[in-house]
Parts: sequence; structure tokens; C-alpha cells
Amino acid sequence: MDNGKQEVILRCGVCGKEGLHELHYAGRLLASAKCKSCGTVMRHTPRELRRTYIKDLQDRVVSKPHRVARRLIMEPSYLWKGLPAALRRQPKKFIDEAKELKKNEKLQDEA
Amino acid sequence: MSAAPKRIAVILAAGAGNRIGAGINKVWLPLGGQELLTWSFKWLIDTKLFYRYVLVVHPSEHELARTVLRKYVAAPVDLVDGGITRHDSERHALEYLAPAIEADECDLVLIHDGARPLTSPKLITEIVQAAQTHGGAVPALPTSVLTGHANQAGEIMRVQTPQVFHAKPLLKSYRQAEVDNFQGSDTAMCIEQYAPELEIRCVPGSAQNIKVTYAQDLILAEHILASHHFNLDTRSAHG
Repeated sequence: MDNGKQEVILRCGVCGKEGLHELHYAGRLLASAKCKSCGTVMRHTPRELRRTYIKDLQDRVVSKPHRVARRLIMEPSYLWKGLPAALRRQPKKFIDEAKELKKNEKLQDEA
Repeated sequence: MSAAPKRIAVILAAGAGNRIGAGINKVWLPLGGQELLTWSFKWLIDTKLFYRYVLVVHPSEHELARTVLRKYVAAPVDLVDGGITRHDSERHALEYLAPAIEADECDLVLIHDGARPLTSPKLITEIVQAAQTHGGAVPALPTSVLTGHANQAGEIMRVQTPQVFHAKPLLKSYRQAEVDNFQGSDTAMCIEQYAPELEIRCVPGSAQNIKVTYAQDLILAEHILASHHFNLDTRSAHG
């Protein structure tokens, strides 16, 4: 996924066409989806997204040790192959997520 | 449920993203922090009803599938190349399983759509139990539109997946369909055509067992998962 952005084939609820949609994520939450055929954008309200994001972030933090432990059991080499790089990526990841939330708020204000 | 299950679960994921040739296949989209497809494996594995898992993917996605499965799926999964249509993908999976079916190492096959990430372990268990007893079972919900299958009472129903059938008549049906060039829209349709003696029970489906088709389905799926704290366990009252 490129900076929380993903392109995928979905059906549009407005134009009815099955085609490319551009999705933006904030953390593990879908912030917005844009149909590239008709331009329809569907997004959470900023307030709703912020509230859900904070709740989800708490969930992620609490469940992280369990998730890392499970991964290490399944793939012990993750300890030296993946974990150090994953830890280094965390600050940028949180900054990108905050930017995505901010962007969603800005787009909503403009609409 | 028997102590030594001879059941195999097949997940179909050779989807439209590849056929159109742009963007990624929706089954690889992030949903609740992991790829959408991996949730189906989680719920299937949670039931402990299956001893083998098969994933049908586009040949170009084998490497991606291996990486994702290694990361999130706590069981070995065999990869099979998908076909042009859903029916072809099912046939490929069944031909791959044919040696096990013919050697009586598999008595039930579950076929599930990889784009339905919210099928609870409870629903999976009910469908397997019904199929074990009757020969075949599908989850279905009443619908107001005139599409779908009729249930035991003759009402028109909207059919979901997973669909579970006795393995031998299922394989036989797909082989006969190949001879006749028949393409069914789902597994039950092929069984109805070629193994009418096999009773297919409609088990009450679940409104939350959505197929991700529209963009808003992703948001709904995310909301349902979050409201269950990412665990649709067997105690869930939501099906």
C-alpha cells in the first residue's frame, strides 16, 4: 500500500459501474473511497473518523504484544528479519495516519 | 462433529481485479489491519472442522498469497490456479482435490467466496452440520427480489456462501458439467443440475455475512469487525 492509498476494482453505488476506486486509509480504517469513473467520493465524517481512529488506535496498542508474539511463533525469524524494520517504520506510519485524518477533515470542509 | 474431520475448505479468490487487469483484487485490500481474505481463514480455522485448506488464486498472485498467508493464517494452505469464471475456479479446486476425494480422504467440501470476510464460526458450523446430515447445505436469507434459490418451503431466498456438499457427488457434478460445457453461477446450481438426488438444505444465513462488492461494504465490514472487537467467535449473537 502506497502511503495509505490503494486502487481496487469495486462497484460504485452511484454510477453502478464496476471499476477502479481509489481508497485512502488512516491506520487500519478506510478514510475515503473515490470512484474513478464518476468521481463520487464516500468518506466518514471527520468527527466519526477521528473517534473511530482513536478507539482503534487504543485497540492496536493493547493487542500489539499478542500480535507480535503470534507472529514470532509462526515465523521466529521475524525477530531479526522483520521486527527491527517494523519498529523503525512506526513513527512515520503514525505521522502518515495523522496526515490522512487531517486531509479527510480538509476535504470535508471543502465539500 | 467427528473427532477426525475429513473435511476440506476451499476459498475462491481469483477475482475480477485480475480479469479487468487494473488495481488489486479486493480480497487483498486491508480490512481491520490485515488482508480481507485472511479473515475467512481465521473463522474457518477457529471452527476446527477442517483438516486441509485450499486457496484458489490467479496464477500471478501466488507470491502475494504466500506472503499474506504466512503472516496471518495459522494453518498450511494449498494454492490452486483460478479459472476465467467462478465455475472454472471451483472445478480446478475439485480436480486438485480429486485424489483425496476418490481415496475417501475427504467426505465434505466447503466452498467459500474470499470476498465474504464476516462468516462467523457459528454459521460455518451450522452449515457443515446440515450438509453432513443431508448431503448439501447453503446459507440463505429471505429476499424481496425474484432471484436466488427456493428453500424447503418454496420461498425465494438469497443464497450466500460458504456452501458445503458431500465430496463425491460434487466432484462428479463438476466433471459432468465440464463435458456439457455447463457453467453454474454458484456451487449449488451445479449440484441441482447434475446431482438432483442430493438434498440441499437452506440454513438461515446472516445479514452480516456480506460480500464486499461496493465501496460502502468495506466500511460496513470494518464497522462490524470493530463492533465484535475483531473476533466473531462462536458465542457471538450476531451470527
